[in-house]
Amino acid sequence: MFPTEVEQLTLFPAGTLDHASLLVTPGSDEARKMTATSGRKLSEYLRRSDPVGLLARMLLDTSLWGSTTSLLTWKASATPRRRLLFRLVPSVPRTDEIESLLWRTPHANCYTGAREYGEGWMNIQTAVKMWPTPRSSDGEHGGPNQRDSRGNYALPGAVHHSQSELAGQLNPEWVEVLMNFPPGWTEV
Amino acid sequence: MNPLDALADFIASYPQPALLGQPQYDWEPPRVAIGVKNRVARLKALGNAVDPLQIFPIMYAIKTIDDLLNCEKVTA
Repeated sequence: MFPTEVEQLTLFPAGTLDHASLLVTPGSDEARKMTATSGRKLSEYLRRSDPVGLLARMLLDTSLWGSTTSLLTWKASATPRRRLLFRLVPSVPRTDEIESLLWRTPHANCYTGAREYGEGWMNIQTAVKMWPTPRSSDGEHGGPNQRDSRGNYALPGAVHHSQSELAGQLNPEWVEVLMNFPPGWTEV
Repeated sequence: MNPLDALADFIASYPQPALLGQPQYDWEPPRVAIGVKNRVARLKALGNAVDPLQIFPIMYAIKTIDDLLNCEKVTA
């Protein structure tokens, strides 16, 4: 981007693009629209009409980006060389600061299984059932008691402790599915 | 309409394995196995990988723009 474009970013009123609406719940259509709106506002400052500019606009103003746990807002900043840098920044709703940092409060529909998202939120029964992210060391150092820096089980441990009758080691074919790769993708 | 918006349903409906503590779906490979060839190397690759669904919209956008520009070249 050009230096003039960077300077124009200061014309945004403070907080216009920084704070997500307090009433919007993550994962809802409203949250996605809000993300797209924040990106669309920033895309107005893109002057380039070459392929890179078109790509930036397309990525900024789509309503595709969403999260079931956080609100996503596009933010712009300038690099030391005065280039524009766009980032999709997650934020937790601040309806109640303390509550939002804890597990979701159990509610009447908690008898339902996981993946019941209700009003767009990942409910408590889903949040506790997310698999840990696979790590490159899961094979070599993937003992059942291996934990991450927060003390949570790594993927091999989570699998091992989820079903007591399991025998064997973490199966890469299942991890392929977990990572949304086609079956057999890493098979050589 | 932004071409990327059309991907929302595809990504949302992409089959996901059963969650932690739930019985597996019939189509899932078993979570653990014995004697899988190249197990450590495959897990290392997967642990360093990016979920294709995360990068898919960006690659799709690049292709869409490339198609658009090629189309303009042909008609010019």
